[in-house]
Amino acid sequence: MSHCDPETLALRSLGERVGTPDVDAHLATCQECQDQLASLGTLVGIARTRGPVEMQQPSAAVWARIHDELGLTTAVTNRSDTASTATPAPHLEQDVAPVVSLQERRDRRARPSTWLLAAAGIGGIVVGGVVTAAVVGTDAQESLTVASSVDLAPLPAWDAQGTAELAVNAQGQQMLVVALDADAAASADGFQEVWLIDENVEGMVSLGILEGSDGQFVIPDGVDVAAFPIVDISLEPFDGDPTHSGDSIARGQIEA
Amino acid sequence: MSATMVMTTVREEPRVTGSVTGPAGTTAGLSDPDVARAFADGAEEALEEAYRRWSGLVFTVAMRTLGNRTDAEDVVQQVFVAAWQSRQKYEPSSGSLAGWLMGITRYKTADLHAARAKVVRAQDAVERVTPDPTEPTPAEPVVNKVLIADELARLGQPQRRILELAFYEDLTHAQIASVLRLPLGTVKSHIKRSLDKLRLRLEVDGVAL
Repeated sequence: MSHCDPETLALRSLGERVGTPDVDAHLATCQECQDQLASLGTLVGIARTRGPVEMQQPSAAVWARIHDELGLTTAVTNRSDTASTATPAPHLEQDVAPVVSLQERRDRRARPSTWLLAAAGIGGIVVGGVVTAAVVGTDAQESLTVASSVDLAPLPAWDAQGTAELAVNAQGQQMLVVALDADAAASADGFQEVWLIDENVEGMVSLGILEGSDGQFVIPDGVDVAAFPIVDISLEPFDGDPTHSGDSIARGQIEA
Repeated sequence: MSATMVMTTVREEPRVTGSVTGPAGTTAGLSDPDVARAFADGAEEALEEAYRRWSGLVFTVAMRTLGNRTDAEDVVQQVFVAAWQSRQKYEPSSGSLAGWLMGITRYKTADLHAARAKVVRAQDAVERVTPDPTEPTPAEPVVNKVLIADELARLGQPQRRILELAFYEDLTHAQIASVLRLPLGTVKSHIKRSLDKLRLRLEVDGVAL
């Protein structure tokens, strides 16, 4: 038989007895599959030994001490918010409501300093076949390659029209470009939030807040659009509840 | 290097309903190798970004090894100061910056261990007890274990939750599918892909097994 199905090997490395007798027969003789299983087994063993690790952060004073000791220039902040929060502790259950503005993150990302552009080797380079879309709400322009487009149709009780485009930016990140004309945009009752939802309308991922009628959203690396193909724009009340309000303005489904 | 790029293109976490992530830095869109090259070139912003990305790793490894917050924070300071001062010795093409920082972390924690052992030896000498200064530091497995935790934290949902249930709750993929109300095939493919990501992270930043 051909090599073992990688998903079967993954489950076996976790200790599950899955797969037909063929798998055992093949594994007994195939060094490559044995090595695969062994390296995954090593990984699982390390992960399970003495349970989960909670990531911890040093106090903010540590960066200030490094800043002082090295005599860094003032171009580099010595403020406490430099302390890493980029790696949140793993939490098995949800804890508190989010206070981080995703828009703010995107805005900051949209303006990398010049050394960053130089380091990335991306300054001024435009790839053939790329369209340029204006980034609404920032003064930056970003090159995007649009992969597919879907119309957003209004849900009952809403008057809305729009499109959502699946695109890739110059850094290779998947992006969702949303344009929506809806009377909710000017509503004082809440704000518009962009979601990717699975076909059962059970699991969903928030991409951020749509301000006005246009926005670009980074689709995080771990999110598979094929698994969350429905683009949904909701009206969210200012109630601090991070979950979907259930009040969808418009929807469309991305074709994989 | 291409494997590294795959791992590090995106460091932003998805906000799945109800969960929270911290703010990314101003340089969040940059790949780890980009930061590493700028670091080697002496850009102070790259040191700051390296600290933002990896001080938690260094600190968590030091905490797990030394068990003391003050000592662990000293290690963080020593590691980043030493890394910056000896950045000419770092060769971006020969390994990741995170992996290099992990190597320095192991030296620094071992130094602290040795300093402690010296104190113990002095006490032992008084008591005429033979010391064992060769007691190994557990830094190697700790580094890899912390890297797994860090990568888990970056997986996004539902991938993170799926692996947590598989690793720490010992649920089968069928049980996970039932608990999370996800299709079996989705759970299986997430498990496979997430394990691949974790393994790649260990290959890029970890201690050779």
